[in-house]
Amino acid sequence: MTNRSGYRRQAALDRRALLAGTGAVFVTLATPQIVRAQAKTTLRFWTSQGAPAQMAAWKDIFARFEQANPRFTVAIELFSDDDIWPKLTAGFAAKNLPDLVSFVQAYTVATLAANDLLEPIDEVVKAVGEDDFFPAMRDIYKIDGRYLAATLNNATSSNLWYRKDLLGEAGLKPPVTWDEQLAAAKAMTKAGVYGNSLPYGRTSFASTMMVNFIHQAGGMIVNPDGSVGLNAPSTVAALEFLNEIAAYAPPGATSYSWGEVLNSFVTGRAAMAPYTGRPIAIVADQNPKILDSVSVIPYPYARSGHAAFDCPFNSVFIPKGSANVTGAKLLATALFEKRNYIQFLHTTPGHILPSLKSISTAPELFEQPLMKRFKPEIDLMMQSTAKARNLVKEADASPYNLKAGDIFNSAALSEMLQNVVVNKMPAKQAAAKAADKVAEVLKG
Amino acid sequence: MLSPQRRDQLTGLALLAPTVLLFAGLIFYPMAQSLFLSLHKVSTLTQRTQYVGLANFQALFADPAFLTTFFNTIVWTVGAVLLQLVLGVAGALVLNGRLVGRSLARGLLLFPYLLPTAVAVLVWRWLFNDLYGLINHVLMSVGLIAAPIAWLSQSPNAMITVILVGSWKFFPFVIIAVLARLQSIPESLYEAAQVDGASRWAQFWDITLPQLASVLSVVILLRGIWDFKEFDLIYLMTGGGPGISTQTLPILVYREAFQLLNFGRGAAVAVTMFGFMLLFFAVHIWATRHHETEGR
Repeated sequence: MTNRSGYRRQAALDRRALLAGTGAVFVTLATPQIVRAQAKTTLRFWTSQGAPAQMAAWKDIFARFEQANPRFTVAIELFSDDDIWPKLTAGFAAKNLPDLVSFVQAYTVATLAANDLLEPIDEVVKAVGEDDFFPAMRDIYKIDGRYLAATLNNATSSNLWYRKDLLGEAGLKPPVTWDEQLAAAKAMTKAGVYGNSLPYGRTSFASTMMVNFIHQAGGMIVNPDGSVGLNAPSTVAALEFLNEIAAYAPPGATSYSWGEVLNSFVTGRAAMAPYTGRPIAIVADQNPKILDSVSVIPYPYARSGHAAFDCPFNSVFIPKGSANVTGAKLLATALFEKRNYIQFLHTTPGHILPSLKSISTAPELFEQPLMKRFKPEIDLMMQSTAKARNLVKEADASPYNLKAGDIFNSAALSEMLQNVVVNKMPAKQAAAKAADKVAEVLKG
Repeated sequence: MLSPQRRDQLTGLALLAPTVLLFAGLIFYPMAQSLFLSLHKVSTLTQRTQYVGLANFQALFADPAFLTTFFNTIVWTVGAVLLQLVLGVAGALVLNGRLVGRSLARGLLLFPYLLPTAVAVLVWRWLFNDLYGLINHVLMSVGLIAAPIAWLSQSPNAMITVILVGSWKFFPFVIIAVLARLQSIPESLYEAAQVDGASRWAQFWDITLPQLASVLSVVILLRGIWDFKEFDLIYLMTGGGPGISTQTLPILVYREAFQLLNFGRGAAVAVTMFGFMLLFFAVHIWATRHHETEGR
């Protein structure tokens, strides 16, 4: 008995000693981790750009940031353009906000600014260099003398991608005006190929393009004095042109948005289409046999109007309520560093363009093979983007339109287009109806 | 000291309490909250609220787009439920008969119901694609059409297409319910009818359909409620377009709350939907009871 109980006591002691020892080892090993984890602050970074190449670039960029700023780690959280509002509203309601948000359009930023939900980031813009920004891209986020966001990069869909071979076969030159574009669309519409593709759906792309078409016809959505300028001959002219050229678009164009327009051009089913520089990489990857036949020009304009370009001003901003404003500013500044900036632009060659003059002229920008090959096209798109405007600020004389996001979200512009093209409403009536809706938005 | 009767009462209340609390938390609170929101102007973004009484409802009923949306919802619900009933009853009759590979067929017919909506919509969108869709390709190949049809981009094509896809997706539910009932109809009823010289159609009309009445009543109720508030399938198929020709009330709720950032208006649409569903529920129950009373 004695031996057995002694053996048990010995075994129990051994187990206890083993447990205590294991615990001690665990605590010893874990303590530095815990201390390290406690010492580090995680910065939550929201972006809509999550393609594999982009994620790889983000990870590289943030690894360098973390090395330079050992106090911080960066966690990437993805959103899509469609769920930015549900995510942001949930974040504000729950006071569970990201520290830095990227790739959000100026319309959205305007709505946030109108509700006083943005942290000023003057230090970031000054650290990057105020004069290095293209003026329109810098000033778009300057409200009452403060920078509430910064244009991280930009893109314009006010380009017309076209097929050089098909246009040549039709014996035509690249169109400069709407009349010429209409003639080209008609001439290039043949079996299996549609002359022109456009977004006629009740989508953000249609609204974006509609703003641009009205500007190209010499009109405005909101006049500098704050009145609605939509109910005007320029709007009617734009709608009539769009209705006429719809005859040469794919049958499903009345529901087209970004993806469908791009797809119709890249696959060779449409001879012309508006888009950012994204077709370069997609055609190279998915339909390389037409790569030598594609090129881009500034989007044609009304004979009585003028060239005009629209862009989203992809922003970076800190939502009010961020737990780490200082860290977020450091991170925002790091995104503009040349190496980080160019590495990210190379992930979608030609699609996303610089907001900084120094980057647009940097030789490294064109080290990427496709960007090198399409340098003339990319230079042209950079020139267009530098001149681009947005509903947020339609003209130099226009005040900052804090209701731009509301107008955009109301779908008044895409609805107006659909009323003419789908519902066959007279252009004048559709313009008047849309003007009433915009007036109501401005009033509310 | 509590009397045994009082103790029993308290025990009963204690046992009921979790259920009551659960109901209050999960059902009554959201309902009350929706009603509260519908009477206020609420910014989705800032949660700032301002009491506006019935203004949200007045604005809603004065908006022609709301009436069109309401009409679309009725067209979608009635169309989808009717087609599901036809397909479901037909499918169940086939599966209830002597059929080679019946087990496999039963499994396959349930497939659409098991498929995630997003996946099903992607497949159908490709099939209906204006440029590359198999459906246009086949129809053009056999010479039925000369040019591609815009299935999802023109009215009324878009609504018809959405109803077809919705019915395909949800009709297996009707099969499951009807098949279970079919298997419990006494064979002797059909034998007696055959002896009396009843045709197949007469057997279906006078025996099968009356026997299915109760289960079909429940199916219409459930599918009616579910289809009335269907969001994802329609939103992913057409986004409510072209124009607002396939916009239904749940899509309007989403647009008001998350695109126009007006939670109050969104809640007013939701409350209106709820009221209409209650009405539908009441009429359906009354009709079913009335039918049963007449049957006795």
